[in-house]
Amino acid sequence: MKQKLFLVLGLMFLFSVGFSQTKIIGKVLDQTNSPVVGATVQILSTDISTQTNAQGNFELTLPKAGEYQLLVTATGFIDYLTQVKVSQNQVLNLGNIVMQPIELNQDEAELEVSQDEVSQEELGEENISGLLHGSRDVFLSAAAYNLGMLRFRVRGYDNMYNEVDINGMPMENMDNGRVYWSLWGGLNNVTRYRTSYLGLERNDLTFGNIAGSTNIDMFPSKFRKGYNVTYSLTNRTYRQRLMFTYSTGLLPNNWAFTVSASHRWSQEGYIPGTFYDAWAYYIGVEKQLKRHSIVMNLFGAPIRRGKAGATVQEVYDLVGSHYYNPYWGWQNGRKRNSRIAHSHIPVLLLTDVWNIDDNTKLTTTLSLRGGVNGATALNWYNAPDPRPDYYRYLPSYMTNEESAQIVADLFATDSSYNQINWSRLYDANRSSYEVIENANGIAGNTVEGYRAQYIVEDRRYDQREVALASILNKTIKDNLKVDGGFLARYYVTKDFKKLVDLLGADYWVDVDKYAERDFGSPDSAQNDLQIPNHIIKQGDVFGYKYDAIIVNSRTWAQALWSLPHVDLYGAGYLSYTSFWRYGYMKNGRFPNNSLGKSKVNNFFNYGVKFGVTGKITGRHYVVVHAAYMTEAPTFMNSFVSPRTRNDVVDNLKSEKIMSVDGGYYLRAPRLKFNVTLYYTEFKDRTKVRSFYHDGYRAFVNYVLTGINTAHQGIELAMEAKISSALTATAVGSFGYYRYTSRPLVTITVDNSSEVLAKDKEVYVKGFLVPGTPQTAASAGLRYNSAHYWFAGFNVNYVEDNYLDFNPERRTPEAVAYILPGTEQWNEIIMEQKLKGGVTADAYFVKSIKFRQYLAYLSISVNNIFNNQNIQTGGYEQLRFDTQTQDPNKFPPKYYYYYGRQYFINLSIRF
Amino acid sequence: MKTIIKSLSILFLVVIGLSLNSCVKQHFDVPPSNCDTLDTIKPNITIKQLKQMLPLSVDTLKIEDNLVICGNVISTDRYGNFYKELVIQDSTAGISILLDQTYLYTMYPQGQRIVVRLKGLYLGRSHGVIKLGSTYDDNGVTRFGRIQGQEVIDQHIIKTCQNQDVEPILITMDQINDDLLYRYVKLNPVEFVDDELGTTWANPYADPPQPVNHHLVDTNGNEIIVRTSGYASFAAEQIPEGSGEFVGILGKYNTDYQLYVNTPKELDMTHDRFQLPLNIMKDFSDGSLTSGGWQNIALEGSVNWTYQSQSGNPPGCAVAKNYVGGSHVQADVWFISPALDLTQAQNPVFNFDNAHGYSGDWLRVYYCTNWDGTQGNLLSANWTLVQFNSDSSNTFWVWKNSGDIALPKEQTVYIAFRYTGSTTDGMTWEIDNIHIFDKK
Repeated sequence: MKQKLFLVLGLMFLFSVGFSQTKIIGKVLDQTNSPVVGATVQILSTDISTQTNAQGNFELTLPKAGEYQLLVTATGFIDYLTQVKVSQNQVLNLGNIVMQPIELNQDEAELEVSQDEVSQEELGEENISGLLHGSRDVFLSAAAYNLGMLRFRVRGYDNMYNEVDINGMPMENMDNGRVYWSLWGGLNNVTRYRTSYLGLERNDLTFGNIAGSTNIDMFPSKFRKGYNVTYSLTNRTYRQRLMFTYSTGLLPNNWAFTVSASHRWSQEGYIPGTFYDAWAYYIGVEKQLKRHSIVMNLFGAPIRRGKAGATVQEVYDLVGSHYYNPYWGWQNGRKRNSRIAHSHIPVLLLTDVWNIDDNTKLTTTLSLRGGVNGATALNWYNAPDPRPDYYRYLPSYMTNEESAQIVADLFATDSSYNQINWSRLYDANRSSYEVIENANGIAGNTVEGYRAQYIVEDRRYDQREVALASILNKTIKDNLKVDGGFLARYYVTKDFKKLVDLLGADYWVDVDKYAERDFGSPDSAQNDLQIPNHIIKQGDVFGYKYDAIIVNSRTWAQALWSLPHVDLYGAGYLSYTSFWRYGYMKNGRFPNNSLGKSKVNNFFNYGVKFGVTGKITGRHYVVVHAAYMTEAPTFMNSFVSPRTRNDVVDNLKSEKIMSVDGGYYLRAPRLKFNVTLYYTEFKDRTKVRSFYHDGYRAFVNYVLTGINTAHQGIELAMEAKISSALTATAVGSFGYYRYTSRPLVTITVDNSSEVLAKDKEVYVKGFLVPGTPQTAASAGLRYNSAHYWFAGFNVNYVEDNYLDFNPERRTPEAVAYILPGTEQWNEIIMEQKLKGGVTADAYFVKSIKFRQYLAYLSISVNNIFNNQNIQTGGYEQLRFDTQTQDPNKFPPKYYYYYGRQYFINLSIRF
Repeated sequence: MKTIIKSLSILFLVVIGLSLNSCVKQHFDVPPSNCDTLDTIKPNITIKQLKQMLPLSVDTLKIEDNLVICGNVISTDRYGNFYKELVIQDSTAGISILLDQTYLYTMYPQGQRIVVRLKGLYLGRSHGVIKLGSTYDDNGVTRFGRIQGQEVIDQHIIKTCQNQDVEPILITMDQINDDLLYRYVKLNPVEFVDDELGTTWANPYADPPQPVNHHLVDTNGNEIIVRTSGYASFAAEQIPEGSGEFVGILGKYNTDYQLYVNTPKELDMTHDRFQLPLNIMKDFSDGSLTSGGWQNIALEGSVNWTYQSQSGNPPGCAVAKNYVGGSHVQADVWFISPALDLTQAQNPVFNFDNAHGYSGDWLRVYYCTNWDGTQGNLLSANWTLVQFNSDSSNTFWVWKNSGDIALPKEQTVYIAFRYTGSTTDGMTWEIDNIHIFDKK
């Protein structure tokens, strides 16, 4: 017995002598001084590696003294490599190692812009959000960088199911539920510190939403102290960018200040006729007291840009480019775009973080926002359609072969035909002398002059919001965390339009040309009976004017219980939403139903979600989540025609969402892998659209209710360290998103609210959800050099993206008298798949240190092989010729992915 | 504080730096009018000569030579009465150009002087009228129709930089002939006929909207059709009730001349209505006995004057006979004109065609100036018997005109045709084409 003990002791002595106590320790943090959990720390050319723990600490034991290369890697960060020299038995403390996040220049606000999609009859823009980035998750990072531009949406969910918060305050537009990243476009440096959660993952600061949530931490004390100047050259929507940020960091007197400004501009972007002029400014002031941090963040991003539109394949083929833009034309030797989007909505956030005690934190943010938001467009009265790609101007419309050929030849090359002919618009206004009697409703008041047949109008939806969010985070015991909060928001959109350019005429008369044609009485044609025959000059408001008022309050709570091998969490919320319309004009077609306050619509909603994380070992995790939520319909999908009347959709319901997902995660030093399966159901969604219906020969409001969809699929992600310098990543998303119901449609005449069809079935059960590739994959290699540069390339694949379909074509009326199964039948009914494809990107990033200056140069090229045939989106026209029943009379319109793009970025820090 | 100043001044410098060389210009100037300032293309034939190129036997002709016409635009589609059609005229004639484009007034307003390169275009005859256009394919059949495609139109129609107000030429209805087709004309004084007063220019509320033909009449009683489309913006307005100046474009449909108005704003029909010269013709061609205010009064018996479609001169006349059901019956029936105001006429007369058969009482024809219009006072009024020519051979049914019979220039004059028959006998009388007019 004694001998064994001696042996053990002796061996221990040997061990302790032979294998020395030479160690390296340190702590890995990110830019906000939060620990980076699960970062891999390794000694190059050896097997020695470990991972940082929940506090970011690591400890490496070395065999002997010497000089080594230490490499720290973590997803979403630039690899950190350093030389270390350790003496025998020394415990070398490297202190805090601060990791730099990878920012490959992706600009979420730009993602919105490059995919301009204006709904058919200009009721509103559909903007996609930038995707979540800044995530430690391999899948999300790849999805954001590589697949975002190809319109990949995680799990096929609509943008409105993403929540984005700044300091705990949700930032979406309440009238349509969507997040517009352009609200802080160009302020990359101050919106960089964020955490993203995919799907139903637990978020400290909010219940979140089905697609996930992102918290942006905007605290001047956390921003890197010093100056940061960035200059970029690119060829997408803007061509140059200049950003400037200065941060004091936390000063000795516990104040911190940050200012940032930027300008992104181009005379013309990748798509012809698109200009870009975006500024941004930010001021942040923070004062840290003993237990409070008080922050004031003020920012704004005024932007003006020319838009691009989709067109039919015939036009793309005629002009020989997939980047044709119908919105512009030459005027006096310069390109003039008829559709200019502009916005400037400054936001003021006042935040107080109260560290009540070491385990309790209360974050309260008051937000105020208010500003201008709109887009211009042409409008016309008794004059030919000014759009150059109008179907009657195309060779396919001609029935004389010779003429069709001449038209095709000239359309292909002559911009006075294939773009807007501004001269002709001015000429028309010059031919239009008219005398208006009883102008502005004043008897005997006669106005003479050139009456505008064409004008440029600005369609505005200015926003105002006041909101208060308060979040409590408390750690009860080491393993029990509870969070909860309260949110109250009052949001108003002021919708109206203003006349911007009379195009050489003297005045415009505010009447509805369709009503004039359809009804005898001059009264019904008036847009505002309070001022009949309203004479409109430049700068006047006309057409429609109403406010959308939305009030919402929400309380939520969640608890996280950490056990040795299992984390359990549950969360729930209760919310109350109330919205109504307030009209300022008495519409001639709806004199009793347009002026004043509409009925108030109230919705009571709730949601619950659960998550279980099983930690099998330190490396293997299994995760399961489930959620059930109800959400109020949005204002835009509840009012049938808010520009003219107070009518709401019959039987408005909250939508119901049920989701469940489960995944397996592996985190080994050289390999990260995860696979997730998900299934989500959306029920009782509503959608409102307006368009000209050929069958009824009238402008109609098309209301779809009972829209149910199911989204299921599998996500795979892998990141492997092939060698110390080489990393391979691969992600894949294989989804199946489809309609599971036959929605019901009610069609009313926009001019008179006469009901043309009530609760008619639309046969789209089984149709795939359009607008996003259901199959997407990306794989790449990255090489990290010890000389402070890294480079790599990705290959991306998207497929199974479907054209946004016209529901009216899937009704018995559309296929009346046609035999099922015939070619014509199939052409009308079948859903069309968009062209997918493969693209490749490459990038190179180098950091250069020169005295006290640290510079980063990054060069990236997207779509190296210039694949111009990928259709990122498109839509079937809502107009369908019921006489010939030929779907090719009004063919679909497509958007194409840009060809070769580059982004060169130089940022200097000092 | 120092840091704040330092950072703000750097920010200021940077903003200045950002603004330089990064301006995106946005202000746009009004472009000049789109016309051929150099007048490079000159006409080499007149519109009259152009129309003469199409022989009567041919319906469509392609113009192969480098011919050019020049003219001023006289029509406008701004008010919806013209559709995809541009009418131009020069000093010799006018012609309609068929163009597949709407709202042509925005590009070729009234008065615009244009030059038309004819090579490649077609002359076509459309319902008897020569127009300029092109051809199109209608399910394999080539038809004459509109020129398609603005690109193609721009190759043929060139706007000159001259825009002048075109004055309509004053014409009278007798002067209307094919030479005046598609010219801008003015008639004065004219008015719409009495029975059309109170109606609208066209019928816009039908589905689809319907065109309407109205009739203008001059002081001599000559009439011409005015046709208006149901899509005209003024279609629901009432036609002018007064007399005066009518301005429009002369067209034709097969054999009927018709006028097309650009807009009622070009008319000036606000004067008092004029009296039409006396010219009433009762020829029974409408199948009605009493239309026009005529009446049938049976004083005795049940025999009436009736409309008969088989007889007449031509067929369609009024007949009276008392042979009913195999025997003669007692009859005394009067066919009376509407009240006639003959005070404005210089030499009012009437005549009529008549035919007869069988034996019995002769037809008696009267006029009267003091009947009050009631059946009760019919016999007590002073009816003046008149002589009229009739067939004297013993052949039945020979039509003969009565000869002109003078009438008094009184305010309320009635003409009556009185048929009588007894139980023993009675003739059959047929009358047609009762023409009451001012014989000059």
